Amino acid sequence: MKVLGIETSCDETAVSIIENNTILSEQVYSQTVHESLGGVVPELASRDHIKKLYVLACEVLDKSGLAISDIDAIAVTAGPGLPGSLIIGVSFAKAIALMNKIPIIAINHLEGHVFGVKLSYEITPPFLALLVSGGHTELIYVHNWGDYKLLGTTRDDAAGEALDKAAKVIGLSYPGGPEIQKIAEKGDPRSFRFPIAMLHSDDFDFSFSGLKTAFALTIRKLGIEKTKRNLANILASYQDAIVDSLLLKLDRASKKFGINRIVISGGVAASKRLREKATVKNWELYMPETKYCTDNASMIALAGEFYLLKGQQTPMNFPINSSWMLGTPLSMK
Amino acid sequence: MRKSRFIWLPLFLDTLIMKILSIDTSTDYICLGFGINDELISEISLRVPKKHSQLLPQLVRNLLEPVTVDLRDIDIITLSIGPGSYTGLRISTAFVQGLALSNENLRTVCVDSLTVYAQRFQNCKETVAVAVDARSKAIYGAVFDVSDAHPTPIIPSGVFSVKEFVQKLNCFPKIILMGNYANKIETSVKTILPNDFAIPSPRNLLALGYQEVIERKFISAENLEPKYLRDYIPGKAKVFFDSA
Repeated sequence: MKVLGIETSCDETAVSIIENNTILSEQVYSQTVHESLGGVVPELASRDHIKKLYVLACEVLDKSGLAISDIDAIAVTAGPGLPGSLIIGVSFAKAIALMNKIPIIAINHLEGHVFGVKLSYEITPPFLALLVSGGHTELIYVHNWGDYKLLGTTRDDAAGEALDKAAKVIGLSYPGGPEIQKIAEKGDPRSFRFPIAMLHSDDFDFSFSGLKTAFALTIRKLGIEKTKRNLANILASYQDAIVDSLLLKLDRASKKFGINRIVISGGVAASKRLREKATVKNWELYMPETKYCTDNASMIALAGEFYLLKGQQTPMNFPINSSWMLGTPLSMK
Repeated sequence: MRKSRFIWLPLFLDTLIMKILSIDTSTDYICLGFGINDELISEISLRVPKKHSQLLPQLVRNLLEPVTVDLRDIDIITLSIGPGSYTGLRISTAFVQGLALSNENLRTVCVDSLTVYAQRFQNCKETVAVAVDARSKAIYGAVFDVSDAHPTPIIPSGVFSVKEFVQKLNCFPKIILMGNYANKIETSVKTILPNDFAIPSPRNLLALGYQEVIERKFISAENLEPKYLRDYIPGKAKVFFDSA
Protein backbone atom coordinates (compact mmCIF):
# COMPACT_ATOMS: atom_id res chain seq x y z
CA MET A 1 0.00 0.00 0.00
CA LYS A 2 1.46 3.36 -1.06
CA VAL A 3 0.60 6.04 1.49
CA LEU A 4 1.13 9.75 0.97
CA GLY A 5 1.87 11.41 4.32
CA ILE A 6 1.36 15.11 4.99
CA GLU A 7 2.56 17.00 8.07
CA THR A 8 2.01 20.73 8.68
CA SER A 9 1.33 20.88 12.42
CA CYS A 10 3.90 23.56 13.28
CA ASP A 11 6.81 25.06 11.36
CA GLU A 12 7.82 22.11 9.20
CA THR A 13 6.09 21.45 5.90
CA ALA A 14 6.60 17.79 5.09
CA VAL A 15 5.43 15.26 2.53
CA SER A 16 6.41 11.61 2.18
CA ILE A 17 5.43 8.45 0.36
CA ILE A 18 5.93 5.11 2.07
CA GLU A 19 5.12 1.54 1.15
CA ASN A 20 5.41 -1.45 3.51
CA ASN A 21 7.24 0.62 6.16
CA THR A 22 9.77 1.76 3.54
CA ILE A 23 10.24 5.37 2.48
CA LEU A 24 9.94 5.80 -1.28
CA SER A 25 10.45 9.56 -1.21
CA GLU A 26 10.29 12.32 1.38
CA GLN A 27 10.76 16.07 1.72
CA VAL A 28 10.85 18.35 4.75
CA TYR A 29 10.99 22.13 4.63
CA SER A 30 11.86 23.81 7.94
CA GLN A 31 10.59 27.36 8.00
CA THR A 32 13.29 29.96 8.54
CA VAL A 33 10.96 32.93 8.87
CA HIS A 34 10.79 32.51 12.67
CA GLU A 35 14.55 32.51 13.33
CA SER A 36 14.88 36.12 14.40
CA LEU A 37 11.53 36.15 16.21
CA GLY A 38 12.33 33.91 19.15
CA GLY A 39 9.61 31.37 18.44
CA VAL A 40 7.06 30.18 15.91
CA VAL A 41 4.67 32.94 14.80
CA PRO A 42 1.45 31.09 13.84
CA GLU A 43 0.34 33.50 11.11
CA LEU A 44 3.74 33.41 9.42
CA ALA A 45 3.80 29.62 9.70
CA SER A 46 0.43 29.36 7.92
CA ARG A 47 1.54 31.70 5.14
CA ASP A 48 4.69 29.67 4.59
CA HIS A 49 2.88 26.31 4.50
CA ILE A 50 0.65 27.54 1.67
CA LYS A 51 3.72 28.56 -0.32
CA LYS A 52 5.57 25.28 0.15
CA LEU A 53 3.14 22.37 0.49
CA TYR A 54 2.16 21.94 -3.17
CA VAL A 55 5.76 22.36 -4.34
CA LEU A 56 7.02 19.72 -1.88
CA ALA A 57 4.25 17.31 -2.86
CA CYS A 58 5.25 17.66 -6.52
CA GLU A 59 8.90 17.04 -5.66
CA VAL A 60 8.07 13.96 -3.61
CA LEU A 61 6.00 12.49 -6.43
CA ASP A 62 8.66 13.29 -9.02
CA LYS A 63 11.47 11.75 -6.96
CA SER A 64 9.46 8.60 -6.30
CA GLY A 65 8.70 8.21 -10.00
CA LEU A 66 5.06 7.73 -9.07
CA ALA A 67 1.96 9.47 -10.34
CA ILE A 68 -0.69 10.63 -7.92
CA SER A 69 -2.92 7.87 -9.34
CA ASP A 70 -0.46 5.33 -7.89
CA ILE A 71 -1.16 6.51 -4.35
CA ASP A 72 -3.52 4.23 -2.42
CA ALA A 73 -4.28 6.40 0.62
CA ILE A 74 -3.52 9.67 2.39
CA ALA A 75 -2.40 10.12 5.99
CA VAL A 76 -2.42 13.63 7.42
CA THR A 77 -1.70 15.19 10.79
CA ALA A 78 -4.97 16.49 12.30
CA GLY A 79 -3.53 17.58 15.68
CA PRO A 80 -2.19 18.54 18.08
CA GLY A 81 -0.54 21.64 16.66
CA LEU A 82 -1.20 25.14 15.39
CA PRO A 83 -4.78 25.32 14.06
CA GLY A 84 -3.91 27.57 11.10
CA SER A 85 -1.10 25.26 10.07
CA LEU A 86 -2.97 21.99 10.60
CA ILE A 87 -5.89 23.13 8.49
CA ILE A 88 -3.70 23.69 5.43
CA GLY A 89 -2.37 20.14 5.39
CA VAL A 90 -5.80 18.72 6.11
CA SER A 91 -7.55 20.73 3.35
CA PHE A 92 -4.84 19.79 0.84
CA ALA A 93 -5.05 16.11 1.84
CA LYS A 94 -8.85 16.02 1.64
CA ALA A 95 -8.80 17.43 -1.90
CA ILE A 96 -6.39 14.71 -3.03
CA ALA A 97 -8.49 12.00 -1.39
CA LEU A 98 -11.70 13.40 -2.86
CA MET A 99 -10.38 13.74 -6.40
CA ASN A 100 -8.69 10.32 -6.43
CA LYS A 101 -11.43 8.55 -4.46
CA ILE A 102 -8.94 7.07 -2.01
CA PRO A 103 -9.15 6.67 1.78
CA ILE A 104 -7.84 9.34 4.10
CA ILE A 105 -6.79 8.88 7.70
CA ALA A 106 -6.29 11.57 10.35
CA ILE A 107 -3.17 10.95 12.42
CA ASN A 108 -2.26 12.28 15.85
CA HIS A 109 1.08 14.08 15.56
CA LEU A 110 2.38 12.53 18.79
CA GLU A 111 1.46 9.06 17.59
CA GLY A 112 3.41 9.89 14.45
CA HIS A 113 6.48 10.45 16.62
CA VAL A 114 5.90 7.10 18.35
CA PHE A 115 5.81 5.39 14.93
CA GLY A 116 8.76 7.53 13.82
CA VAL A 117 11.17 5.39 15.83
CA LYS A 118 10.52 2.61 13.29
CA LEU A 119 12.21 4.77 10.68
CA SER A 120 15.52 4.24 12.49
CA TYR A 121 15.11 0.93 14.33
CA GLU A 122 13.30 -2.35 14.37
CA ILE A 123 11.57 -2.16 17.71
CA THR A 124 8.72 -3.98 19.34
CA PRO A 125 6.48 -2.65 22.12
CA PRO A 126 6.09 -2.43 25.04
CA PHE A 127 8.31 0.60 25.61
CA LEU A 128 8.25 4.01 27.23
CA ALA A 129 8.40 6.96 24.85
CA LEU A 130 9.49 10.44 25.85
CA LEU A 131 8.37 12.89 23.15
CA VAL A 132 10.08 16.16 23.74
CA SER A 133 10.09 19.16 21.44
CA GLY A 134 9.30 22.87 21.29
CA GLY A 135 5.59 22.09 21.44
CA HIS A 136 5.38 18.87 23.43
CA THR A 137 6.74 17.09 26.47
CA GLU A 138 4.90 13.81 26.91
CA LEU A 139 5.81 10.56 28.61
CA ILE A 140 3.90 7.67 27.07
CA TYR A 141 3.59 4.00 27.88
CA VAL A 142 3.35 2.23 24.52
CA HIS A 143 1.69 -1.12 25.28
CA ASN A 144 1.44 -1.91 21.60
CA TRP A 145 1.30 -0.02 18.32
CA GLY A 146 -1.92 1.97 18.57
CA ASP A 147 -2.33 1.24 22.29
CA TYR A 148 -0.99 3.98 24.54
CA LYS A 149 -1.26 5.41 28.00
CA LEU A 150 -0.20 8.99 28.58
CA LEU A 151 1.77 8.88 31.83
CA GLY A 152 2.71 12.51 32.07
CA THR A 153 2.90 15.80 30.26
CA THR A 154 4.10 19.32 30.92
CA ARG A 155 1.91 21.52 33.07
CA ASP A 156 3.16 24.69 31.39
CA ASP A 157 5.96 25.11 28.84
CA ALA A 158 7.35 22.30 26.73
CA ALA A 159 11.05 21.52 27.31
CA GLY A 160 12.00 22.86 23.88
CA GLU A 161 9.96 25.97 24.56
CA ALA A 162 11.96 26.57 27.75
CA LEU A 163 15.14 26.43 25.67
CA ASP A 164 13.63 28.71 22.98
CA LYS A 165 12.49 31.27 25.53
CA ALA A 166 15.85 31.37 27.30
CA ALA A 167 17.57 31.81 23.94
CA LYS A 168 15.18 34.63 23.10
CA VAL A 169 15.99 36.45 26.36
CA ILE A 170 19.70 36.54 25.53
CA GLY A 171 19.20 37.35 21.86
CA LEU A 172 19.95 33.93 20.34
CA SER A 173 18.01 32.86 17.28
CA TYR A 174 15.19 30.32 17.08
CA PRO A 175 15.25 27.37 17.61
CA GLY A 176 17.05 27.95 20.90
CA GLY A 177 18.18 24.37 21.65
CA PRO A 178 21.03 24.09 19.12
CA GLU A 179 22.20 27.64 19.86
CA ILE A 180 22.28 27.04 23.60
CA GLN A 181 24.02 23.70 23.09
CA LYS A 182 26.78 25.32 21.03
CA ILE A 183 27.64 27.78 23.79
CA ALA A 184 26.96 25.35 26.66
CA GLU A 185 29.55 22.88 25.35
CA LYS A 186 32.28 25.20 26.65
CA GLY A 187 30.65 25.63 30.06
CA ASP A 188 30.53 23.79 33.38
CA PRO A 189 26.99 22.53 34.08
CA ARG A 190 27.67 22.48 37.85
CA SER A 191 28.48 26.16 38.14
CA PHE A 192 24.93 27.48 38.54
CA ARG A 193 22.04 25.85 40.35
CA PHE A 194 18.68 25.89 38.63
CA PRO A 195 15.61 24.26 40.17
CA ILE A 196 14.19 20.97 38.94
CA ALA A 197 10.44 21.35 39.17
CA MET A 198 8.13 18.65 40.51
CA LEU A 199 11.10 16.71 41.85
CA HIS A 200 9.09 15.30 44.71
CA SER A 201 5.72 14.84 43.02
CA ASP A 202 4.73 11.21 42.58
CA ASP A 203 3.30 11.69 39.07
CA PHE A 204 5.12 11.84 35.75
CA ASP A 205 4.30 15.44 34.86
CA PHE A 206 6.87 18.09 34.06
CA SER A 207 7.08 21.85 34.59
CA PHE A 208 9.54 24.29 33.08
CA SER A 209 8.06 27.72 33.66
CA GLY A 210 9.73 28.12 37.08
CA LEU A 211 13.06 27.15 35.60
CA LYS A 212 12.62 29.68 32.84
CA THR A 213 11.88 32.39 35.42
CA ALA A 214 14.92 31.33 37.46
CA PHE A 215 17.02 31.75 34.31
CA ALA A 216 15.68 35.24 33.67
CA LEU A 217 16.24 36.23 37.31
CA THR A 218 19.78 34.85 37.28
CA ILE A 219 20.91 36.89 34.31
CA ARG A 220 19.12 39.97 35.61
CA LYS A 221 20.89 39.58 38.96
CA LEU A 222 24.27 39.07 37.34
CA GLY A 223 23.88 41.99 34.98
CA ILE A 224 25.01 42.18 31.39
CA GLU A 225 28.79 42.03 31.87
CA LYS A 226 28.87 39.14 34.36
CA THR A 227 26.29 37.25 32.32
CA LYS A 228 28.39 37.61 29.20
CA ARG A 229 31.49 36.35 31.03
CA ASN A 230 29.59 33.38 32.49
CA LEU A 231 27.29 32.67 29.57
CA ALA A 232 28.66 29.21 28.77
CA ASN A 233 28.37 28.15 32.42
CA ILE A 234 24.87 29.56 32.80
CA LEU A 235 23.62 27.88 29.65
CA ALA A 236 25.32 24.57 30.45
CA SER A 237 23.65 24.60 33.88
CA TYR A 238 20.28 25.58 32.47
CA GLN A 239 20.44 22.92 29.75
CA ASP A 240 21.36 20.30 32.33
CA ALA A 241 18.45 21.27 34.56
CA ILE A 242 16.06 20.58 31.67
CA VAL A 243 17.77 17.32 30.70
CA ASP A 244 17.88 16.12 34.32
CA SER A 245 14.21 16.94 34.79
CA LEU A 246 13.29 14.84 31.75
CA LEU A 247 15.49 11.89 32.62
CA LEU A 248 14.43 11.85 36.26
CA LYS A 249 10.78 11.23 35.41
CA LEU A 250 11.69 8.77 32.68
CA ASP A 251 13.85 6.84 35.14
CA ARG A 252 11.04 6.74 37.69
CA ALA A 253 8.55 5.51 35.13
CA SER A 254 10.99 2.86 33.93
CA LYS A 255 11.38 1.56 37.46
CA LYS A 256 7.70 1.76 38.35
CA PHE A 257 6.48 -0.13 35.27
CA GLY A 258 9.51 -2.40 34.95
CA ILE A 259 10.09 -1.26 31.38
CA ASN A 260 13.69 -0.92 30.31
CA ARG A 261 13.05 -0.26 26.63
CA ILE A 262 13.06 3.51 26.17
CA VAL A 263 12.42 5.72 23.15
CA ILE A 264 13.32 9.42 23.21
CA SER A 265 12.12 11.41 20.22
CA GLY A 266 11.07 14.91 19.18
CA GLY A 267 13.23 17.94 18.34
CA VAL A 268 14.89 18.11 21.79
CA ALA A 269 16.03 14.48 21.38
CA ALA A 270 18.61 15.89 18.94
CA SER A 271 20.30 17.49 21.98
CA LYS A 272 23.79 16.08 22.45
CA ARG A 273 23.58 16.56 26.20
CA LEU A 274 20.32 14.61 26.44
CA ARG A 275 21.83 11.85 24.35
CA GLU A 276 24.99 11.73 26.49
CA LYS A 277 23.11 11.57 29.75
CA ALA A 278 20.48 9.08 28.51
CA THR A 279 23.12 6.76 27.06
CA VAL A 280 24.80 6.17 30.42
CA LYS A 281 21.53 4.97 31.94
CA ASN A 282 21.02 1.25 32.09
CA TRP A 283 18.34 1.32 29.40
CA GLU A 284 17.72 -0.35 26.08
CA LEU A 285 17.70 3.08 24.49
CA TYR A 286 16.31 4.08 21.11
CA MET A 287 16.86 7.64 19.92
CA PRO A 288 15.97 8.08 16.23
CA GLU A 289 18.44 9.82 13.97
CA THR A 290 18.04 13.58 14.14
CA LYS A 291 16.02 13.97 10.93
CA TYR A 292 13.38 11.60 12.31
CA CYS A 293 13.39 13.21 15.76
CA THR A 294 12.08 16.41 14.25
CA ASP A 295 8.72 16.72 12.50
CA ASN A 296 8.47 14.74 9.26
CA ALA A 297 5.78 13.21 7.11
CA SER A 298 7.24 9.71 6.90
CA MET A 299 6.23 9.07 10.52
CA ILE A 300 2.69 10.22 9.70
CA ALA A 301 2.54 7.98 6.62
CA LEU A 302 3.85 5.07 8.67
CA ALA A 303 1.18 5.51 11.35
CA GLY A 304 -1.39 5.89 8.56
CA GLU A 305 -0.30 2.67 6.87
CA PHE A 306 -0.64 0.81 10.17
CA TYR A 307 -4.29 1.83 10.58
CA LEU A 308 -5.19 1.56 6.90
CA LEU A 309 -3.92 -2.01 6.79
CA LYS A 310 -6.26 -2.70 9.71
CA GLY A 311 -9.09 -1.43 7.51
CA GLN A 312 -9.52 1.90 9.28
CA GLN A 313 -10.02 5.28 7.66
CA THR A 314 -11.44 8.64 8.75
CA PRO A 315 -14.67 10.14 7.39
CA MET A 316 -13.95 13.07 5.07
CA ASN A 317 -15.65 15.58 7.38
CA PHE A 318 -13.11 15.17 10.18
CA PRO A 319 -12.02 18.36 11.95
CA ILE A 320 -8.59 19.40 13.08
CA ASN A 321 -7.99 19.28 16.84
CA SER A 322 -5.20 21.55 17.99
CA SER A 323 -5.10 19.88 21.41
CA TRP A 324 -5.82 16.29 20.40
CA MET A 325 -4.63 14.09 23.25
CA LEU A 326 -2.84 10.89 22.38
CA GLY A 327 -4.93 7.80 22.94
CA THR A 328 -8.24 9.66 22.63
CA PRO A 329 -10.43 9.68 19.52
CA LEU A 330 -10.42 12.70 17.23
CA SER A 331 -13.56 14.58 18.19
CA MET A 332 -16.04 14.64 15.29
CA LYS A 333 -18.04 17.70 16.40
CA MET B 1 8.26 21.51 -10.46
CA ARG B 2 5.75 19.40 -12.32
CA LYS B 3 5.28 20.16 -15.95
CA SER B 4 1.68 20.29 -17.05
CA ARG B 5 0.96 18.09 -19.98
CA PHE B 6 0.50 20.01 -23.18
CA ILE B 7 -3.14 20.86 -23.58
CA TRP B 8 -4.47 22.06 -26.85
CA LEU B 9 -6.30 25.29 -26.30
CA PRO B 10 -8.02 27.02 -29.18
CA LEU B 11 -7.19 30.63 -29.89
CA PHE B 12 -10.66 31.71 -28.82
CA LEU B 13 -11.49 30.01 -25.55
CA ASP B 14 -15.13 31.03 -25.74
CA THR B 15 -15.58 28.43 -28.50
CA LEU B 16 -14.64 25.66 -26.08
CA ILE B 17 -17.02 23.97 -23.64
CA MET B 18 -15.45 24.21 -20.23
CA LYS B 19 -16.68 22.81 -16.93
CA ILE B 20 -15.97 25.37 -14.24
CA LEU B 21 -16.07 24.92 -10.46
CA SER B 22 -16.22 28.16 -8.47
CA ILE B 23 -15.18 28.27 -4.80
CA ASP B 24 -15.50 31.08 -2.26
CA THR B 25 -14.61 30.53 1.42
CA SER B 26 -13.62 34.11 2.18
CA THR B 27 -16.44 34.59 4.71
CA ASP B 28 -18.48 32.44 7.10
CA TYR B 29 -20.09 30.89 4.00
CA ILE B 30 -18.98 28.20 1.65
CA CYS B 31 -20.22 29.33 -1.78
CA LEU B 32 -19.83 26.85 -4.60
CA GLY B 33 -20.95 27.03 -8.20
CA PHE B 34 -20.74 24.65 -11.11
CA GLY B 35 -21.06 26.10 -14.56
CA ILE B 36 -20.52 25.32 -18.19
CA ASN B 37 -18.63 28.29 -19.50
CA ASP B 38 -20.43 31.28 -17.99
CA GLU B 39 -23.75 29.49 -17.50
CA LEU B 40 -24.38 28.51 -13.88
CA ILE B 41 -25.78 24.97 -13.64
CA SER B 42 -25.85 24.39 -9.88
CA GLU B 43 -24.88 26.27 -6.76
CA ILE B 44 -24.59 25.93 -2.99
CA SER B 45 -24.24 28.71 -0.42
CA LEU B 46 -24.14 27.54 3.17
CA ARG B 47 -23.17 29.37 6.35
CA VAL B 48 -20.63 27.14 8.11
CA PRO B 49 -18.70 29.24 10.65
CA LYS B 50 -15.34 27.59 11.44
CA LYS B 51 -16.31 24.40 9.63
CA HIS B 52 -15.10 25.15 6.11
CA SER B 53 -12.37 22.54 6.17
CA GLN B 54 -14.75 19.90 7.48
CA LEU B 55 -17.56 20.53 5.03
CA LEU B 56 -15.91 21.72 1.82
CA PRO B 57 -15.25 18.23 0.34
CA GLN B 58 -18.79 17.02 1.06
CA LEU B 59 -20.36 20.18 -0.35
CA VAL B 60 -18.31 19.86 -3.54
CA ARG B 61 -19.67 16.33 -3.82
CA ASN B 62 -23.22 17.60 -3.14
CA LEU B 63 -22.79 20.21 -5.86
CA LEU B 64 -21.54 17.88 -8.58
CA GLU B 65 -23.40 14.62 -7.96
CA PRO B 66 -26.92 15.86 -8.86
CA VAL B 67 -25.61 17.15 -12.19
CA THR B 68 -23.68 13.89 -12.74
CA VAL B 69 -20.33 15.56 -13.07
CA ASP B 70 -17.21 13.89 -11.72
CA LEU B 71 -14.66 16.14 -10.03
CA ARG B 72 -12.11 14.80 -12.52
CA ASP B 73 -14.14 16.28 -15.37
CA ILE B 74 -13.69 19.84 -14.09
CA ASP B 75 -11.50 21.90 -16.44
CA ILE B 76 -11.24 25.16 -14.55
CA ILE B 77 -11.41 26.30 -10.92
CA THR B 78 -12.47 29.86 -10.19
CA LEU B 79 -11.08 30.73 -6.79
CA SER B 80 -12.16 33.71 -4.74
CA ILE B 81 -8.67 34.68 -3.58
CA GLY B 82 -9.40 37.45 -1.07
CA PRO B 83 -9.42 39.69 0.75
CA GLY B 84 -11.35 37.97 3.52
CA SER B 85 -10.92 35.50 6.37
CA TYR B 86 -7.29 34.35 6.27
CA THR B 87 -8.16 30.85 7.44
CA GLY B 88 -11.08 30.57 5.03
CA LEU B 89 -8.93 31.69 2.12
CA ARG B 90 -6.13 29.30 3.01
CA ILE B 91 -8.56 26.37 3.24
CA SER B 92 -9.81 26.88 -0.32
CA THR B 93 -6.31 27.66 -1.62
CA ALA B 94 -4.86 24.46 -0.12
CA PHE B 95 -7.92 22.54 -1.35
CA VAL B 96 -7.46 23.81 -4.91
CA GLN B 97 -3.76 23.00 -4.77
CA GLY B 98 -4.68 19.44 -3.72
CA LEU B 99 -7.06 19.19 -6.69
CA ALA B 100 -4.38 20.56 -9.02
CA LEU B 101 -1.89 17.96 -7.77
CA SER B 102 -4.43 15.29 -8.66
CA ASN B 103 -5.24 16.56 -12.15
CA GLU B 104 -2.42 18.12 -14.14
CA ASN B 105 -4.86 19.47 -16.71
CA LEU B 106 -6.84 21.46 -14.18
CA ARG B 107 -6.38 25.22 -14.51
CA THR B 108 -7.13 27.91 -11.98
CA VAL B 109 -8.17 31.53 -12.25
CA CYS B 110 -8.43 33.88 -9.28
CA VAL B 111 -11.00 36.57 -8.62
CA ASP B 112 -10.95 39.42 -6.11
CA SER B 113 -13.46 38.51 -3.38
CA LEU B 114 -14.90 42.02 -3.05
CA THR B 115 -15.49 42.33 -6.79
CA VAL B 116 -17.74 39.26 -6.60
CA TYR B 117 -20.26 41.24 -4.54
CA ALA B 118 -20.23 44.15 -6.98
CA GLN B 119 -20.65 41.93 -10.06
CA ARG B 120 -24.26 41.29 -9.01
CA PHE B 121 -25.14 44.86 -10.05
CA GLN B 122 -23.51 44.82 -13.48
CA ASN B 123 -24.88 47.34 -15.98
CA CYS B 124 -26.47 49.33 -13.18
CA LYS B 125 -26.02 53.08 -12.77
CA GLU B 126 -25.44 52.96 -9.02
CA THR B 127 -22.15 52.90 -7.10
CA VAL B 128 -21.51 49.71 -5.14
CA ALA B 129 -19.50 49.73 -1.91
CA VAL B 130 -18.35 46.46 -0.38
CA ALA B 131 -17.38 46.12 3.29
CA VAL B 132 -16.17 42.81 4.70
CA ASP B 133 -15.16 42.29 8.32
CA ALA B 134 -11.38 42.34 8.74
CA ARG B 135 -11.51 42.16 12.60
CA SER B 136 -9.96 44.65 15.02
CA LYS B 137 -12.45 47.36 13.97
CA ALA B 138 -11.16 47.22 10.41
CA ILE B 139 -12.79 46.26 7.15
CA TYR B 140 -11.77 45.12 3.73
CA GLY B 141 -13.45 47.69 1.57
CA ALA B 142 -13.79 48.74 -2.05
CA VAL B 143 -16.08 50.92 -4.15
CA PHE B 144 -17.06 50.03 -7.69
CA ASP B 145 -18.58 51.63 -10.73
CA VAL B 146 -20.87 48.90 -12.13
CA SER B 147 -22.18 50.67 -15.20
CA ASP B 148 -20.40 48.13 -17.47
CA ALA B 149 -20.59 44.36 -17.68
CA HIS B 150 -17.75 44.11 -15.16
CA PRO B 151 -17.15 46.27 -12.07
CA THR B 152 -14.48 48.93 -12.28
CA PRO B 153 -12.89 49.89 -8.97
CA ILE B 154 -13.27 53.53 -7.95
CA ILE B 155 -11.61 52.73 -4.62
CA PRO B 156 -9.63 49.47 -5.03
CA SER B 157 -9.74 46.69 -2.44
CA GLY B 158 -7.92 47.77 0.70
CA VAL B 159 -7.92 47.65 4.50
CA PHE B 160 -9.63 50.60 6.16
CA SER B 161 -10.77 51.58 9.60
CA VAL B 162 -14.57 51.76 9.67
CA LYS B 163 -14.42 55.50 10.23
CA GLU B 164 -12.06 56.04 7.32
CA PHE B 165 -14.23 53.96 4.96
CA VAL B 166 -17.41 55.77 5.99
CA GLN B 167 -15.72 59.09 5.26
CA LYS B 168 -14.92 57.86 1.77
CA LEU B 169 -18.50 56.64 1.23
CA ASN B 170 -19.92 59.98 2.32
CA CYS B 171 -18.39 61.51 -0.82
CA PHE B 172 -20.82 59.57 -3.03
CA PRO B 173 -24.40 60.74 -3.53
CA LYS B 174 -25.91 57.26 -3.20
CA ILE B 175 -24.48 53.76 -2.71
CA ILE B 176 -25.48 50.13 -2.66
CA LEU B 177 -23.80 48.46 0.31
CA MET B 178 -22.69 44.82 0.16
CA GLY B 179 -20.52 42.48 2.24
CA ASN B 180 -20.83 40.98 5.72
CA TYR B 181 -20.10 44.35 7.39
CA ALA B 182 -22.57 46.31 5.24
CA ASN B 183 -25.35 46.32 7.84
CA LYS B 184 -23.01 47.83 10.43
CA ILE B 185 -21.94 50.79 8.28
CA GLU B 186 -23.67 54.07 9.02
CA THR B 187 -23.22 56.75 6.37
CA SER B 188 -24.73 60.19 5.91
CA VAL B 189 -25.66 59.41 2.31
CA LYS B 190 -28.55 57.43 0.92
CA THR B 191 -27.73 53.72 1.02
CA ILE B 192 -29.43 50.61 -0.23
CA LEU B 193 -28.89 47.33 1.62
CA PRO B 194 -30.04 44.51 -0.71
CA ASN B 195 -31.17 41.05 0.39
CA ASP B 196 -28.34 38.57 0.81
CA PHE B 197 -25.88 41.45 1.13
CA ALA B 198 -23.48 39.22 3.09
CA ILE B 199 -23.30 36.28 0.67
CA PRO B 200 -20.81 36.14 -2.20
CA SER B 201 -22.86 34.76 -5.09
CA PRO B 202 -21.48 31.75 -7.01
CA ARG B 203 -23.18 33.11 -10.15
CA ASN B 204 -21.15 36.30 -9.98
CA LEU B 205 -17.97 34.47 -9.07
CA LEU B 206 -18.44 32.29 -12.15
CA ALA B 207 -19.08 35.32 -14.38
CA LEU B 208 -15.86 36.99 -13.22
CA GLY B 209 -13.90 33.75 -13.40
CA TYR B 210 -15.07 33.06 -16.93
CA GLN B 211 -13.82 36.48 -17.99
CA GLU B 212 -10.39 35.60 -16.54
CA VAL B 213 -10.47 32.33 -18.48
CA ILE B 214 -11.24 34.13 -21.75
CA GLU B 215 -8.35 36.46 -21.03
CA ARG B 216 -6.19 33.41 -20.22
CA LYS B 217 -5.23 34.74 -16.80
CA PHE B 218 -4.44 31.32 -15.40
CA ILE B 219 -2.49 31.02 -12.15
CA SER B 220 -0.36 27.93 -11.61
CA ALA B 221 -1.00 25.98 -8.40
CA GLU B 222 2.43 26.76 -6.92
CA ASN B 223 1.72 30.47 -7.25
CA LEU B 224 -1.68 30.39 -5.58
CA GLU B 225 -1.65 32.56 -2.50
CA PRO B 226 -4.47 34.38 -0.71
CA LYS B 227 -4.74 38.12 -1.20
CA TYR B 228 -3.99 39.12 2.39
CA LEU B 229 -3.73 42.88 1.81
CA ARG B 230 -1.89 43.13 5.12
CA ASP B 231 1.69 42.17 5.82
CA TYR B 232 2.03 40.35 9.09
CA ILE B 233 4.71 42.03 11.17
CA PRO B 234 5.17 40.37 14.55
CA GLY B 235 6.44 42.34 17.53
CA LYS B 236 10.18 42.41 17.98
CA ALA B 237 11.50 40.01 20.61
CA LYS B 238 12.46 41.59 23.92
CA VAL B 239 16.13 40.85 24.43
CA PHE B 240 18.06 41.25 27.69
CA PHE B 241 21.27 41.60 25.75
CA ASP B 242 22.44 40.62 22.32
CA SER B 243 24.82 37.72 22.86
CA ALA B 244 25.71 37.72 19.17
